[in-house]
Amino acid sequence: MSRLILAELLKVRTTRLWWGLLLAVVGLTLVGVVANAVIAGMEISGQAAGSLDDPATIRRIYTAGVGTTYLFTLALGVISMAGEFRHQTITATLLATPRRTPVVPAKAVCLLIVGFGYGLVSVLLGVLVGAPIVALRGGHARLLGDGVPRAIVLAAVAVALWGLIGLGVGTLIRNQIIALLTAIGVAFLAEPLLSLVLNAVHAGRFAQYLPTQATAALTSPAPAAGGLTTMYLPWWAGGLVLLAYAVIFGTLGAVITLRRDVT
Amino acid sequence: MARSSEAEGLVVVDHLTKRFGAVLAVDDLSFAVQPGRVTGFLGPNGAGKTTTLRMLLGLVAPTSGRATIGGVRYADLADPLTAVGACLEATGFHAGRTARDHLRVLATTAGIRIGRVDEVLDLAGLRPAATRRVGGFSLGMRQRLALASALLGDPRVLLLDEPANGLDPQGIAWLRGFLRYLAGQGRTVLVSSHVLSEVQQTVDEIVIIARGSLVRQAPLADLEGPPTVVVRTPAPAELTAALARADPSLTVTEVPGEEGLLHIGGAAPADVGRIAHGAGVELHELYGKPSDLEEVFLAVTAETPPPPAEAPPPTEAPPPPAEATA
Repeated sequence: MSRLILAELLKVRTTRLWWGLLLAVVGLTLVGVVANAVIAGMEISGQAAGSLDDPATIRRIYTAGVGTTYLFTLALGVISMAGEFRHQTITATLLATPRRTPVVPAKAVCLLIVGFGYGLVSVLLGVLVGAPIVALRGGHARLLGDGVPRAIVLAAVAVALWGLIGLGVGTLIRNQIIALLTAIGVAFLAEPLLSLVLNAVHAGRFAQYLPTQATAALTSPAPAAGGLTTMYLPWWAGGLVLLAYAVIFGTLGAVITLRRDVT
Repeated sequence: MARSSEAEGLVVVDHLTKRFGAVLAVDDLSFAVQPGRVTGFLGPNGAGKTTTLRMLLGLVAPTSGRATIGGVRYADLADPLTAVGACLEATGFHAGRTARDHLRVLATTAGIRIGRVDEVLDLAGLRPAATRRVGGFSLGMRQRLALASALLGDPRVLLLDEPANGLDPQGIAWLRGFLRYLAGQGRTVLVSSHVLSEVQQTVDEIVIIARGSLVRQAPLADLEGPPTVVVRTPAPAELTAALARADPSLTVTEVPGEEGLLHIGGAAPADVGRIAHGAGVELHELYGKPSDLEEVFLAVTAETPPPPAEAPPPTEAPPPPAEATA
């Protein structure tokens, strides 16, 4: 198993995908963090963005990159399996691992490691760029208190868990393009819209179990997103919900796809 | 290699059947492949060769029957890559990965020492291209990389699916020598092809299948048969009579549609020339034709009933065109 995990890590390291995605993570994190830190406390079209005095605002600034970073670990997860079918490297993988069961778990461990790395880059960059702006604007950086360290670590965990969800999707849908479009379309558009609608019709108790809402619960709940009252699970339940999605997709994919003939 | 017993290298296909929906790709196929020689696995496109090899390698589950290597199924081998090296047509490489990195991934998975990577790159003549991305490789270089992958674990058994595809003439000549060398070391080498002439100079034994069934398994020499002489003459009837007088054991056949062209079995060109000269028959062409295995091949594969009207099994479809890196 450890050989398989090392091989999976080597697969990630030996193509250019990982640093392309990392570059995008860094760029979008910078944009997200700066935007959040600059508008904090300002009044925009009659609505006040969270005040700099509110610890939740500070946490949100530092973890602002998560709102885009999760998409890249999701993509990495999808490609980690669907890419094997696309490039037909799945044959070599299964020739080396003819008892196929460990293939998906090995990829899962690899994605957790790489995904946590991406998450750390995003939140550390968030602190590095966000804290000076907060300080310049007269706020407290709160680096060691007010739940900031926990929010930072949990944000990185959430980002890592999205890699597992991607792995599940990529295992279920073997066509890489369709798998990517589906995963990102659902995670970035359909699912956040659905939770907005559910919250609008006061069905937030269902919406809180959707993956992006569970992610928000884990990182930095914004109680009044979009002017609607939004319900969130406790942070630990949010983490469990995300993990559950990852395990369900991954198991389904492993059971359905990896049993098939590889022609 | 010395440690291995004969049985370890024995490849057995035992009443193997595979059905893809309505298509019977492999139909109750049985044969055995011996170590220490090169066995050609032949059949027209769509005959079920790739499916059979994939069943041997545990990639495709048989509908019924068993395929074993050294007495066990591939999936039950303790270290599959060090027991069996496979080179399959549809095995892909990530276009963005270098040749060396591709082999490093495989070596890491199988617990093979990394130093072996450069050894097989040398064996396959790929050392100069080791750090190039596979996306820029020609078909021939990909074949060499596939072969290097197969050799990575120094396996006792090699299963190669159409390894000559895409190789240039030098590459094919190199491959022939290389396969002979590997078999000479006592390894089992099974090499598939749909073109008999491609493997004719390499193989010791031939397994021919068509439409999923075994047509013939025999040593190459048994298939070759007696040599044939080809002559063209303006007086075929006189020549035929003269030949019959000189040696009644000769078989003379007229080639239909070809005025005055005769195939004479059982004689050397010098014999035919002498007989024609003695009988005063004018000859326009005279040459010895080595037994055309391709014809034998076509003849034996045609013995089976015509294919059903349905599409050929999907397994031997050409791989999709290489795509750009993701």
